[in-house]
Amino acid sequence: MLQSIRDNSQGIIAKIIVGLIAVTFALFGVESLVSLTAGSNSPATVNGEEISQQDLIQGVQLQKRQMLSQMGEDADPALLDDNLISNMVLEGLIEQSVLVQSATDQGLSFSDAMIDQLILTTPDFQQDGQFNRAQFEAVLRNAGLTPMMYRNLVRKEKVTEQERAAFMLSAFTLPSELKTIAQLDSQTRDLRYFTLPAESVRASIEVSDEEIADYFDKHRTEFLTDEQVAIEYLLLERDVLASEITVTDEQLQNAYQLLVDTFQAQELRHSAHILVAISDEQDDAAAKAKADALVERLAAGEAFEALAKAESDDPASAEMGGDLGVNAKGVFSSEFEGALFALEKGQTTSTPIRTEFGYHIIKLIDVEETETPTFAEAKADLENDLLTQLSEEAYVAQLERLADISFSSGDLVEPSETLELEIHKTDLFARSGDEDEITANPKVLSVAFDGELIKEGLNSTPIELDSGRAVVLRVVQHELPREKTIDEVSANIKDTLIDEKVSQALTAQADGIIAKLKQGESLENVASGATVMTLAGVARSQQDLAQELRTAAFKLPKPAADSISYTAVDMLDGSKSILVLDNVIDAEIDLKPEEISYMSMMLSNRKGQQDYQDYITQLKEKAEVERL
Amino acid sequence: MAELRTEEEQVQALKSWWDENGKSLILGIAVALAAVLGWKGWQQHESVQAENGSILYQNLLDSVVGAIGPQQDEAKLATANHLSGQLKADYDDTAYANYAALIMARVAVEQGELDKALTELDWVLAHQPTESIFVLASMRKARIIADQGDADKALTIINSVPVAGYVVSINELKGDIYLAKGEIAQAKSAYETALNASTANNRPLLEMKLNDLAAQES
Repeated sequence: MLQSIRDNSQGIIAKIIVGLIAVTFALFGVESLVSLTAGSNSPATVNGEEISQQDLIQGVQLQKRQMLSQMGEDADPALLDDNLISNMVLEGLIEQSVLVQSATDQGLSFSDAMIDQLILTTPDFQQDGQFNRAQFEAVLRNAGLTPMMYRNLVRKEKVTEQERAAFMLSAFTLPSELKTIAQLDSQTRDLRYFTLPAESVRASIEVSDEEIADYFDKHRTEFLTDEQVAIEYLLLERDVLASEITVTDEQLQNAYQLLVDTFQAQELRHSAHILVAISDEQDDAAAKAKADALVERLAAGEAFEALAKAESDDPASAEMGGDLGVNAKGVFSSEFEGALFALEKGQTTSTPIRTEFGYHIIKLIDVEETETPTFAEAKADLENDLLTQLSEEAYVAQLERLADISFSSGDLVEPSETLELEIHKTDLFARSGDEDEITANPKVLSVAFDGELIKEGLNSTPIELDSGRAVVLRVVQHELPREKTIDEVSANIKDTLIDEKVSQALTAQADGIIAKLKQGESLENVASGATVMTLAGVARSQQDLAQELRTAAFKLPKPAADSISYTAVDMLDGSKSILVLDNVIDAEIDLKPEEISYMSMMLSNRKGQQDYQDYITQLKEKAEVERL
Repeated sequence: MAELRTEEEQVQALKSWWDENGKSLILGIAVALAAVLGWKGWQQHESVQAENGSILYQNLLDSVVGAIGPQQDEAKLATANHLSGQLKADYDDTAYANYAALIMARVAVEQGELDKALTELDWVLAHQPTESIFVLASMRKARIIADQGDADKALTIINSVPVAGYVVSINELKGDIYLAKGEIAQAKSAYETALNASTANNRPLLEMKLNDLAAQES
């Protein structure tokens, strides 16, 4: 067969095919094949530039973390709709991409050197006022970024920022424009009004059962229950396990022994030394000779301290008569340590000790032994430590068993029996959870409404509520949203219908009043007994007048001399007010220079923002955006 | 064909080919090299221009922030003037120069030097700005001219720019100019066009101006 392949491959057609393949690879590389099969799975492309799946995922995670930290302890997972966040983040990425492209097209740039400069001067990356590489990398790691990605982000942010600054900083406000706005803003108006309260009408309104039924028939599909589940669960608690553990005397004794051992290791020795260093000027033999001579001088009765001061090649300790301070084991090199710990108090080594530095003559000045606590003293602490340690071990072991057994069983019965945990059952609850601590937990809720678990009725994997508690749950009942019955909603419908009728009645009444005003009747006349409020010089920002009335008052046409303008206003509580505007006062205003400066800054900022926002909208409209 | 010849003949053939085509070959290579190097050099120059421009612009932003608004720092103002001058002189083909001129127009307005602001804006208009910057600079120019009393010229300018994405701002500006001329009906209709094109509630000042004109109806 190989021969036949060989023969065929010599043929002209085979050669053409191989040739084509060769040409394809040469021109377009391996990518041409890979990209053919893989296709594009990026969530969106902007003017042909892809937004990567990874960018989206990262953005979503960041967003979620921010939202959760804003919501604090009682974070509501229902608000963290993955789809919603993902869409939001994607729109943000598209906007960013559009802006970066626009900046690049205009030739804006932010060079590597400028990025370096920026990184060096970022306080977050500094330690003691100095850029610190480790700190820089640690901060990036926390944010899930590599230095490369970070630089890229900075570049994008900076070029768009440069363009944004051109919009924001260049917008201005002319003095005449400022004056117009200030004048309008400080305008005041003289008003009168009275209110037709909803409450008095409401009492006389009646809604029949037929009307409710009729309304229900028309709006049936708008009344839906929430999706609900009921679960059963096992709760594994470390504290419960801890209560079943008793610490034996033997364990206590062992722990105590361990404690005693470590205390002995902590024996501290106060030492001094004279160093004869081996260096370029002083070879090994010379150093040893000198050290031996020093030992003899010590033996002859010279004081260790004086000799150290005069002869030691370790300048730091020589100053203090060779004193090395108080140290435990593990500080010095092993030769030094061996010699030091072999000495008796007050003794000096009889021969020089060779280490990597040279020859040492070592003196043990004092031994400080730390007092080992008695068993009785240590018992309470030891028992506590042991209990924590044992219960942690037991908890981890049980958690593993729980995971294994609940994975392999169809329901919670077997894990419950094996691990001797009670099966708790819950009532139906919606995605927003209920008061119970378990069914209010965001982690539990997100698992309980997991489609797979609902469909298959499987046990979940253990959900760790905190470091000492875990839950395995199983969905036992699942209620899809359904239409509510008329009995469940008739009260709501009745309220809606009453509101509607009240509004109709009040509108009719108000229309009648407005018509009378048109014929020239006075407001006091048409008020027919209701209290007429008179307010002079109402400002736009006046707090003691309802917002609805103020807005309406400043929308009313300016009345001609000796005339009024009027309207009916819908109030928030369903009432209606009849409002009359008597006079508009455009007072001459006199602004101080600081006020002018401040106001013009504010107006310019607002203008700059609007211009920039318009610009973004425009860019986005022009861009060819394809969403997956 | 080569196997027919002796070595000498081959050398001879090569030589004569070289005599015939050598010059044009060398010339060809030289031209290609020059083109590649030239292109590379030009690109290099462009990116150096952009980078230097970027650094100057970044510094300009820092000093302008200190030169505007309530603080009005004289030294910063001088620096800003110097930097924008440099950008406009040496980097006049970059977007940074246009941005600088736009920003300096604002600084001039705050200094009360409207003519200087007009010069800056005209500089922008003369240096191939993007459509968006062109519209912005034109609108600002029209505002200053209207403020100086020539409402008709301002209207001519504003009527000649492409609307691009600035429907709301352009019509609001038209309204302002008409109002200054005392043509209330036109002003009102311009404001209404602007308000209809805007997204709900994001132009409170525009609403305020329009509402104030409601009087003439009744």
